[in-house]
Amino acid sequence: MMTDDVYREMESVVGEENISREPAILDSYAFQPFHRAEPGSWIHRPAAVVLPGSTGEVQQIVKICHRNKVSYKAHSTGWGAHSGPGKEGVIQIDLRRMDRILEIDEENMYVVVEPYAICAQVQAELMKRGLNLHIIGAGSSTSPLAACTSHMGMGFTGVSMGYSGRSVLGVEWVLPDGELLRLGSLGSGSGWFCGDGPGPSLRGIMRGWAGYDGGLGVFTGVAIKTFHWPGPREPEVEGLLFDTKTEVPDNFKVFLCYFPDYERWADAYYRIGEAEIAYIMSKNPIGAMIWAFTPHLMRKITDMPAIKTALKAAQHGCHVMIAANSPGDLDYQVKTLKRIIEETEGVLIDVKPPFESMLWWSGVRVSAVQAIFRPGGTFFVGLGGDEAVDNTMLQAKFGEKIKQDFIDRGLIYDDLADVMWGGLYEQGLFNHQEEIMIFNARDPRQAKAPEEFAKACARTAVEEHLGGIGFALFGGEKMHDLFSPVTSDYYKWEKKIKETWDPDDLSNQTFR
Amino acid sequence: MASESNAVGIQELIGIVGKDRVSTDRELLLKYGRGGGLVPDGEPVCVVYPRDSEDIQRIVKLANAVGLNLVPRSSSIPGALGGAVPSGEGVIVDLSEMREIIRLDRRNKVALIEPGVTFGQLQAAAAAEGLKVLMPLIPGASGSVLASYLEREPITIPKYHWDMTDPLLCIEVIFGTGDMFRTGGAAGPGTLEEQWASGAAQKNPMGPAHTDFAKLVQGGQGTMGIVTWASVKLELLPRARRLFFIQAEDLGELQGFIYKALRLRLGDEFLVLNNFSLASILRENRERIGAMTRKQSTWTLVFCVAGYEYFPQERIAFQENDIREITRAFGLEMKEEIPGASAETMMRLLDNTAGGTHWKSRYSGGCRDIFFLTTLDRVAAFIEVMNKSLVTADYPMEEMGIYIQPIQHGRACHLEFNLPYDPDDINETEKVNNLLLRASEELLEAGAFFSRPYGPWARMAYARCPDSVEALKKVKGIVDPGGVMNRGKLCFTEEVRT
Repeated sequence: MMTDDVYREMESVVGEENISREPAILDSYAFQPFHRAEPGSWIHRPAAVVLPGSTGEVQQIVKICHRNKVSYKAHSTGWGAHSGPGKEGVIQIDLRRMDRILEIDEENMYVVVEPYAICAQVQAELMKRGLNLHIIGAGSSTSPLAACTSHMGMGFTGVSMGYSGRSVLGVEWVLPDGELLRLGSLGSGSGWFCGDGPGPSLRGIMRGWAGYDGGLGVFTGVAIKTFHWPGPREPEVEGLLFDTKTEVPDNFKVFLCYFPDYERWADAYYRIGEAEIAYIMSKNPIGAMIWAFTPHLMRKITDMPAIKTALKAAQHGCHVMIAANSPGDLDYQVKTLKRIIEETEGVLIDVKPPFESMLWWSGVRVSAVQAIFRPGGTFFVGLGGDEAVDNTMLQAKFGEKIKQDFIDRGLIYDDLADVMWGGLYEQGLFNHQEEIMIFNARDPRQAKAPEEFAKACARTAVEEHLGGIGFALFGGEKMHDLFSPVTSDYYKWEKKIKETWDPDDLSNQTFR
Repeated sequence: MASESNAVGIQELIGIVGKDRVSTDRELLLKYGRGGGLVPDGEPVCVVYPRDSEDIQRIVKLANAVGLNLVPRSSSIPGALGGAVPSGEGVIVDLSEMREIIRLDRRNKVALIEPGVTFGQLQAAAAAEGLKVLMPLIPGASGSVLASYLEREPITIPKYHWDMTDPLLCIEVIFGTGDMFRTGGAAGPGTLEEQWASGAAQKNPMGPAHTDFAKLVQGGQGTMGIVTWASVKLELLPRARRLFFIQAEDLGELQGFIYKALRLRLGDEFLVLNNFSLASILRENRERIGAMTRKQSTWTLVFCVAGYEYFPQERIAFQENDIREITRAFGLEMKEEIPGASAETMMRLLDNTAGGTHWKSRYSGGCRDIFFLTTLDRVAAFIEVMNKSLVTADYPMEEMGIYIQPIQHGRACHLEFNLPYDPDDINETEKVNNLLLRASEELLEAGAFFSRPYGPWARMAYARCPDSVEALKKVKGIVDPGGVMNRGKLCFTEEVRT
């Protein structure tokens, strides 16, 4: 329990300027309208917030919590309800003072970051060296450490850079009892270049498809893979979000591709993956996109059946960016993409200025996705995960039926019931699919929609064998009751891990 | 002499799999128990050949009931690394007869295989579908694909090596508790057949949910459980391919080129051999290997460029052109022929499993390997450490093979030293064993990361990471609380204290 003595002990570690229990400050951590199944915008107010400035301070804070049986929750950039306390009496460990890039190894292509080094900052430094990193859709203002160690998420560059959870090399990890665990080569004093071994890889405890969202201690450093960046070292860009103007380098091309149906869309995905082309690849749901960028226009469109039908014809599409390292590479990639689109009876739009620079920069920087908060103030994802393209296609088909029902009942915004925000990973190893639904959290009727939506999606996922638990995790603990018995009883094993490393359940996991 | 619990266990094992699938043949047991000097000889009490997952689950439950030590192995004997040699008494669970390719899926480029499926077997089946198996450098024909992937042996195509788990995807494992668990996309919901019907193909290697037990089983030398099948990544069989050599006297001359080419993800197969290793691959016997070694430059980089379904020749042409420009920038020359080997010869060797005597053993009959992970920029320093050890041990430097395999798109590399010796010569065997132990200590001290710590390396490697040891013991306590899986291996021994 948080007492005055405990507070003072923590204060002695970080200094009085780096700890607070001022209600107004605490409430700034408790307003978390995003990604919660239950209605409301407020989560539990933390008992205090403490801002350690180093790994040593994090260890001391966690040890104080451990000794005094006080719950705590690490927070880096904190994009949703999963980042804050899941119950009363939790200390929020805000890691924003730990915002350094510790090392960039250009030759061996990795960057070592602290928890609050954000993607924009890291990317800018990497680009100066001809490198880039995978940024999840939450955008460039988020923590790459959190994406790699603690959460999940799709990013546009997955096709060429892979999934955040698979981009992890060495890790520095403060365990729930405050002891330090350094994974892989780091733990053996050999540097940050490998996160696995000796022997079994403890990355398997750190995270799976998703991370524990702060439920197994605090990550204070991670080495993340970087990738070649064939663009300008210091891009000059005017404007914000999607509304940007810049010069697109000659070795980049941006295309929009549309297909007659999901089957031919899937064929194209398989072929693009096999051809090992594309730097960015993403299917952006058409209705959600219009809601995000032009919400006033979309409100009008929802009353225009003919326009809706015309727009929906574009739902089986994707956005492809090609980045080439030589003229021959560019010719080959463009020629191959054209052939694939031709074979799959698609339409290829070669995006020209001014839209080209908007798609180029917002794709590279992941700077526009945040606009999805504009129409309703928040959104929710109920169905989705990562598997073979054909499986994600089926997820989208079932998801469309579920979503249309909610639209018809006025429980969510009419986004044409188009489903699937996602894209290929690792040149086709798997595809990502997430069913975004937009609703107004301030409308009492719509505010209840995510819970029902989550249940409907989860039931369908189980009954139709649509893949692992995926985004249903956000539906809360009840989801484990539904999924675990038909998914290798995984929750039984997760509980054992939690009980082993955190027997007093102090490292707070919001959704478990 | 089998203990009482082992004797009871053998009878029970016969009850599970039948009399003809349990062997107590003394000659056979001696082979399974041979430690080869680096690990003590084990004392197998019997060998059991399960037929399927159900057999394995019953065997593991029996082990818990009567206290057996189960030592799983997938490849045919003898194993070179000692991971499947029992520490003391043990029941060998030989999975080599579980050799079904359960599914081969061209559209998703994936195979679902049992532990006994060999590289030769999978390669033939995959090729028939236009697919390619990702292989380590010239594996033995009878080598188990699953064992190789579970042991994180490096594959020769770094551009397909995204994560250390690759090319392994999902597994079904019987934990030491006797519980069956499936990982990644295979976990469910649904049976495999139901998942296939919904378009799934066990392609997502992560999870399920917040944990990744496949990562905990991989690299575990059978200490966590027994893997009964796995889905593995396959890639397209190229429609066209060209192989090139770049030779240099100094490794430093190649380093910049390798970094640049791999960063641009150019090339398919991509590896570096010293003259002795290259000669051992190209020639069959001691005399010819010696002669070939002298003809080669000290270092040879071997790489391929390939074209697939779309415009294969054009893909090769632009890649070749791009690579040629990089070679010029570094003052290097691409060749299609080197002394004693054409590009075609080398490609054939890389594409196939080893026939007859393994290339490492051709020179002296046996070979000790030291391998670990590092980054390319540190390789030269480790070679220097190794050379000093050779001098101290009076081992001929010109008879040591060196193999450098970039992994994870070039972020790291597997560095391997091969030390040929005559296994029939007791003095030579002792000498090379002592050299291996001393050099390993010195390499570790210099920062070598022994990520796959077999035999004596376990004690050395785990002494450097007590925090990992403590965590691994907790994992072991969860999945094998009874300690029935391959006792005494890795850090699960009294010798390695936290």
